Amino acid sequence: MMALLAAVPTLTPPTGSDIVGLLPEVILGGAFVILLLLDLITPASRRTWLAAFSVVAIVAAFGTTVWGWFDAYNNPHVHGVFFGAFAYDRFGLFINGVLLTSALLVVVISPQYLNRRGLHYGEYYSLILAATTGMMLLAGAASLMVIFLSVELLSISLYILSGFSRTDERSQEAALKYLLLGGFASAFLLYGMALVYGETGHTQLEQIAIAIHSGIATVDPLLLIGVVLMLVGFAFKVSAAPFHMWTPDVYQGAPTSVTAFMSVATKVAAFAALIRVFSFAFPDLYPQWQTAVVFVCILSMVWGNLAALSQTSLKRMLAYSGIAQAGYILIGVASSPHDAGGTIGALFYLAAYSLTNLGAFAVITIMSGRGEDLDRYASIRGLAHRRPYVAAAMALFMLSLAGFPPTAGFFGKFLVFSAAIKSGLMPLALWGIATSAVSIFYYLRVVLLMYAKPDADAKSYEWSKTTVSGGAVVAFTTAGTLVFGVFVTLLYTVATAAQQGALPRL
Amino acid sequence: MRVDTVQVLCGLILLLPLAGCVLNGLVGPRAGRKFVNLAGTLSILASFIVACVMFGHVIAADAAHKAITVHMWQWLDLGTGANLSAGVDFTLDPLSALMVMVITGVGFLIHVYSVGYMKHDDGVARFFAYMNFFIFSMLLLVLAADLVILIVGWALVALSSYLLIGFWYQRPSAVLAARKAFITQVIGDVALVVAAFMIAGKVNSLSLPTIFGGVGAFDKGGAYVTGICILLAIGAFAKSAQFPLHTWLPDAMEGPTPVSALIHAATMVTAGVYLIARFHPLFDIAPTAQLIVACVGMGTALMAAITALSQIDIKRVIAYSTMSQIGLMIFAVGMGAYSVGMFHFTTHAIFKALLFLAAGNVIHALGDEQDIRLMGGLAGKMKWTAAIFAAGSVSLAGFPLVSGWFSKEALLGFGANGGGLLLALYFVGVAVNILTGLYAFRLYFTVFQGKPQTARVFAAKEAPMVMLAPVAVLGVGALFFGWIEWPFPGLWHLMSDFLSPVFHTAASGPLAQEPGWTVASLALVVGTLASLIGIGGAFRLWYQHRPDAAVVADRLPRLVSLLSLHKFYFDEMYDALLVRPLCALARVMRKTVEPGGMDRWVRGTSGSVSEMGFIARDTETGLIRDYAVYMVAAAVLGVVASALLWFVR
Amino acid sequence: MLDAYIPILAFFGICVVFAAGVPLLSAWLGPRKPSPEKSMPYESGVVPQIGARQRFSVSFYVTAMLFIIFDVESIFLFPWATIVRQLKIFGFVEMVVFIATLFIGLVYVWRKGAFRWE
Repeated sequence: MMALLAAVPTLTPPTGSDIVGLLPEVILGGAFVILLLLDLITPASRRTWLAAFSVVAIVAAFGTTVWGWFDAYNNPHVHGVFFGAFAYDRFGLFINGVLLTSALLVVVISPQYLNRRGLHYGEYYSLILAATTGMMLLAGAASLMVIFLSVELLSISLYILSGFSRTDERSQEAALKYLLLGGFASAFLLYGMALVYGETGHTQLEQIAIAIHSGIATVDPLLLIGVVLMLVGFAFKVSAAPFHMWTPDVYQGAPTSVTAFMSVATKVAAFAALIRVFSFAFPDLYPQWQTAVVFVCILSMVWGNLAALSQTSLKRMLAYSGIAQAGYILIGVASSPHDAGGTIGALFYLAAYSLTNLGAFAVITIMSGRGEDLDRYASIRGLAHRRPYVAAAMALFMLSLAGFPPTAGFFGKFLVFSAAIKSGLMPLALWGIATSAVSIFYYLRVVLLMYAKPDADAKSYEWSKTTVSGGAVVAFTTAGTLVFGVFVTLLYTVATAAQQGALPRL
Repeated sequence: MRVDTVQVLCGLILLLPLAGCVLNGLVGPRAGRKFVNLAGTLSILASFIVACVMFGHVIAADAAHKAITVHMWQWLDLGTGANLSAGVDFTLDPLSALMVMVITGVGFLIHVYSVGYMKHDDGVARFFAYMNFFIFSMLLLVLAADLVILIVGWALVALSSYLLIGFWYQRPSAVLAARKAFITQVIGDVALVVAAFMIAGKVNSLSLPTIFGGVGAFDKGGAYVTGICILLAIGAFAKSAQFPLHTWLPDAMEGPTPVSALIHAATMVTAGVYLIARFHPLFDIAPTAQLIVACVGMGTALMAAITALSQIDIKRVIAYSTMSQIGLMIFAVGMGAYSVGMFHFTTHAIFKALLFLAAGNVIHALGDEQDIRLMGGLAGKMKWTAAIFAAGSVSLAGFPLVSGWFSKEALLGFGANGGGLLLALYFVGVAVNILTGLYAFRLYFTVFQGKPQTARVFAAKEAPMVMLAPVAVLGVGALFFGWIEWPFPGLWHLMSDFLSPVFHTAASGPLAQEPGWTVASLALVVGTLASLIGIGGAFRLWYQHRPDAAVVADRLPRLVSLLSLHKFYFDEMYDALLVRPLCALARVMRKTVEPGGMDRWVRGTSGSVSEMGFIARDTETGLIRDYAVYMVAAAVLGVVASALLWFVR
Repeated sequence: MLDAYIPILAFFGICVVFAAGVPLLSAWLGPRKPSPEKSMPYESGVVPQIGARQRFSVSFYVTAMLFIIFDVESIFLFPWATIVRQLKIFGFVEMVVFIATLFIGLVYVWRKGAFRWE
């Protein structure tokens, strides 16, 4: 018995500063648990209170994130908290900011939509908070174990959310598809992690990077296969081709507010992990993984844009557009170890994309009527004549997604393309430009439809009235899309600081 | 001047009209006419107050610190390699302060006038939104301390001009005129952008103070800097309706009259003069370009004055006179007499805005009648308007001791002092003086004196107070403003003294020097006599005799009258040389090249793209097992490829 | 270095041999006299009333899942208990947080009526 006890290494308990590094996640996770209990005592008619509580929690987490932004800057020697398992750096906090903003906007538009669809249950908010917690953990994860756990936390929450419409067969189908394929992708991710761990002997990204850099771990096929399998896992989460197949079905089936959240937040969080692992932990394997990333990137741009052309459903079209956008962000990733602008561009793109895409989904959400969701192209025909401001905002989002100046989307594309050109990936930039030319077609089709004369004889879709909360969200996203397109340096400076502060550093 | 104060002032003066525009555009249509009138005019009044504060700051600053450039924020960084960046920077110096004063001051009066003029128009919210937007764009243009911002302002004024000319979009002629104006101005925009590229190529900066500080990089009188200056001048010509890009201005009279007064007389069309004055460090080292500018200016002045003689539309006469007067200003800044050029700009802004607004009163009183042959005898019906119009006319014609006289004679005096070509141009200027007197008073006498030609004149009523008061204020300026500067050395020179910190920093002297007493008095006497001859001739011809137009034309050489009547055949020429060949080419394209060649390619490409789209869509079977197979296949491919790559390496 | 794993390999071998061997032995040695009664599903000696292939109430699964959750909890508690003194107050707090989280989950499912058998 004594011998067994002696085998246990002495354990150092985490200190207060470790908790500080995790403060936003702790707040949000705590709020998630409290919300579960609050739901039990809240009467069904008062569930909007739960939304209000979530807003408070998200704002609190956002506040600590902002505070952490400056705190992390003041502690240049911090190399992650919890013994390096979690990175308390500006990179993670930047992503936190984007995630929390997205979550906040989604929570604000949700109550009315859920009431209309008869889905207003308290678990919705708990699950959104749980997913956001998982995403934030993923954004800061600096250990393979934490990455996997947070991926699971966010995935399981999203599986349930996408099946939230219990009576809707489509929603159930979406949830099941997402669950099965997601489990499949998790297996790839875990297998890749196992191989990387086996080759390097470490789970912490910093240690892995050191091991590869110093030559302790030889670069052999098993390590490369591990890296490729991890890429598969992440590519599934960011919905990059050819691991994107679930995306359109799930986006279309899930309730629209969930789709809005999923399409933005999952992508942001998964990209954060992808960039942290590939650009900052595996820079020495750049020649090896670059080919794979470029392949995925080109395939996503081509596939996403082409398939979006022939859609007749708004949510599916946006799903494919999201696949294509993942391709553009991957351009930034593919050029990141060579040029800091790659990471900065990807971060800028993520923030711009979140605002714009969330805005587009917010429009679909708040305009959806009592019956079916505002999903078919025919349903938005003539929207501009009845809801001119909302339609103008939607047009702006479409232009931003297509990359027209002076919107944030333009500068996102501009930054990743120029990073690609600087790091000698000219063909990638050309592919990007060619495919975005294709994308203009289907984005503008939405704009044209909205501004077309409503059919005189056909029964027009019954759009909902614009409410204060919905209008505020659309106004906020519109303003963001424009402000970051005009005052580019605002976001650019923050993204640059995030890139410079990213851990692990060799 | 403190940097933060100027930042706040610049921000305010730009945001106020913009706020007015946004309010009128978004809320205006629902909030009603009273709200629109208030928001439209008060925003400009507020920015006029800010302009006065700015002006005071410039005056109060000590001589060495009259100019200040403030950085608001970095707008765009064009990459570390090129080291080029565009900042939202503004310059406050005597030149921009003067421009800001004129824009907001005259602009405010015209806005007040518009309240009355647009009283019965339904689109008043749209009107004021456009007008406020114009003020914003024009202020952006004159305050810009960065070429990019300047070009943005430059293009935005063209846009607001387009919107306002085509304000009555139900009229095909207005839409066509708007299009013509816009297309012509885009030619100038292109020239300006190319000039900006050339400047950036040499100085490696787009910031105006840096450019002007780095003129040493250019060879003095070299082809490169001359090229830049000619391109800048083309930009200026397009905006200021100078030969050969002048044909849009008369057509632009399709817009509402306050628009003609504000944009096509007082402010926007003089932006070309401002541009040349602002870029004077470049022009000073490119004498060839200066001479070209001076020639074009004086040529346009003569041509427009001749054309104005035979026009029968009241607004078109004034439009041609505007063109002619701007020609004189361009002549002045072309020969390097920047201060007097800006002086004439200021007096012209006052008396020309006045003439347009007074003409607007007439048009309004006659129920949108613009043909001067159908007017006559209005002085009895509209005493105040007639008196004010007369004040504007004497100022325009250069009657002694009236505003226009001071500025025009000062400007011509500089020409008389220069040798050779400039002296020749001066004599052309004397001829222009005669013509100006003729057409200015032809207009006044035909409209206000003589017998009423139609019944409508009897029904005419004096304009309401809201349309009279602003014109009266301008009338006072048209008579007395010029007194601040005398065309003799050593006398009152308030304007030149005020502007001297801007223009005396030039690397080399301008072409023309200020005339001494002898030349100045000689030129003054000759010029004044010419003006008086013109006025006298008009008095004899159109007041005492009121001849048939044909009779007058017969006495003149046939060519002159024909040229005048047909506006020198420019529209016909452009039609034959540019419009028709292009239309013919377009027809050929449309009929043969398009369907046969392009369509097949384009349809082929887009067709195959959408075909691929369908293929891409069809891979979505909706079956989980298929998706899983795709994923596994791709992952296996990746694994095999990475392993293979490793072994190959 | 791989020597340490030899016992595990042996363990695997024994498992395979045992798992495959017992059914084989029974098939080889045991007498076979099939009858309809013998082929019926074994329902604790009662004659089956209906077919075995039918829907079960979802409550079975909920209960099973809850059982597993607390089963796993106890599995975590055992190793923790062996070194609880070494972990000091931190270990105690961690376990309290863990159990509290599970407890909240239990309260939640309880209030949501997961234990109601209707």
